[in-house]
Amino acid sequence: MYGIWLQDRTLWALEQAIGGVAQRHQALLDNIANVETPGYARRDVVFRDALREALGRSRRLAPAATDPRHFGARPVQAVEPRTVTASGWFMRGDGNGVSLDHEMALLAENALEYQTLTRQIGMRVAMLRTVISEGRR
Amino acid sequence: MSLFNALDISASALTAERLRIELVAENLANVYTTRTPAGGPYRRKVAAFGARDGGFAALMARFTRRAEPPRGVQVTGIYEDPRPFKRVYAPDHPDAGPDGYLLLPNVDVVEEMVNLIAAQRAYEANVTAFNTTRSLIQSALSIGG
Repeated sequence: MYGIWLQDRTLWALEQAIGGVAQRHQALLDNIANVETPGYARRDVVFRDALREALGRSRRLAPAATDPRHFGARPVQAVEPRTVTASGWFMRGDGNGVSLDHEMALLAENALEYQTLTRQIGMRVAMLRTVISEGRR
Repeated sequence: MSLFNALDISASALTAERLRIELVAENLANVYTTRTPAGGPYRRKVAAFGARDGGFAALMARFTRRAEPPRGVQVTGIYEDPRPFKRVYAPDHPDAGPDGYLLLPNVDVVEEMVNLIAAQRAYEANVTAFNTTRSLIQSALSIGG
């Protein structure tokens, strides 16, 4: 995916995270769009735990993976966001599980997260650029 | 999957909610219409919403473990409200029946106003969501610079 000189685990992690956040944004938009659809179950996207596990910062006890070929280890690049559908939890009589206020709050929160990540990726790229130019401007 | 698809989700909801507002306007405009091409008074119209499931592309995405295409909402149909008409005693009205009773549309102004506000709020929520997506795309564009 990158040249050997760009084997940057942090950048990979940021990229995975921003992909997950973007997918979550779509799920939230879908929930808001379907706020008046009878029988709609709200959807959400989870990736955080998988990413944390791949980065080796999980609370769960897992074997350390120091090589991509190690068993049970998932490299950061292989983390996939997962869409989950809420079931059996309805706000209203029409079987719709969307609470508009909740979704709007999550949307704002998620958008801030996205902007944080773009800022961080930008900084990472700026760092690489500093390295390339050997610290000179 | 890209954020540009996300704009489509909000746009589908804007279209659906606008149609709902138009139906409210139509119902309110015809609150006293006693003569229609189909005969009889005007019947209240309601839009039914359904989640857009993405069809075959969504099914394929699930099997190939790709990101699912954008969904959103669609209007599955416009239905006529089956509730009975209002009956008003008005023997001098040209459309009154032989018993002197006039059938008026089954439109309830209060109900329509409530629906109007609900649709308007839903529309606004989706406009906010749309603008959020736009600012996300703009922030993604500024990564390199």
